[in-house]
Amino acid sequence: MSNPIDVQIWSDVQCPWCYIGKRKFEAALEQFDGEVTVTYRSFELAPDTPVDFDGSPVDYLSQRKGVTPEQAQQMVDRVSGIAQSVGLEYHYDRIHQTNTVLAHELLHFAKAHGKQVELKERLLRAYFTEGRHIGRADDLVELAGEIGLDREAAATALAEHTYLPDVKADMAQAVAYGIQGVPFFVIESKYGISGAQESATFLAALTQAAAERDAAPLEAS
Amino acid sequence: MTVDAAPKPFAMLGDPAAEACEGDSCLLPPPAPASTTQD
Repeated sequence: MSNPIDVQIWSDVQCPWCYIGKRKFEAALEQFDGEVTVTYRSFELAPDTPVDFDGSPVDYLSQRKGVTPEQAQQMVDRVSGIAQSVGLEYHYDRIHQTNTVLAHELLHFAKAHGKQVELKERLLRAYFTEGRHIGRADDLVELAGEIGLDREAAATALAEHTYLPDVKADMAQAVAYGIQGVPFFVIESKYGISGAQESATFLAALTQAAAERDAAPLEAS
Repeated sequence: MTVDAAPKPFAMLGDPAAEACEGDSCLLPPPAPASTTQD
């Protein structure tokens, strides 16, 4: 029996295109005839953002991008419309712009406990759809508990920054790979896909990687 | 955790023009050539 296809995904939890890309990738997985293991890797889009940014996402975009509030609103409206096309509800009027390093630490904690994929979805939905804060330890612990992770253990891991080295290692790996935007998908350490591309692109890549692997001579294990 | 010393030669798939990666979602963090650690 073949090993699962390995997919590593660099993304951030307040990246609108990452959630859209996640849905498109998942649509490809539904059509792919084979097993896939997915690992989310940390990528902080704005590590200098304070935990409690004073302003709306439109204010944030306007300041950070140097665009007018009207242009920032257009960006938000556009990405919200694309999100809707893949079944996602973005509510930018509720979003708490924040720093995501703790969320990434929690994702590594969840990985160590076999629930990273579940937590990734929970964090994205909490941020984009429910307007929950994902930058503070207490809020993150609550979200971790909602998917069955041990709250006390999660709180300890965040307080002690147990997984911060893993977050930094992911960031360093992204730099080493020359990753300049997220989401970024690496399939079998062989193929890269940048951005929230169409499901057909992901499906073709998975199919190609599986075919090449199956065609390769068997190696002694 | 180890970090690869050099970029892997990925074959990039997909349409570069179709990369739905724009706006703030695709901003890179500040360059950190000497160190990628955060204080």
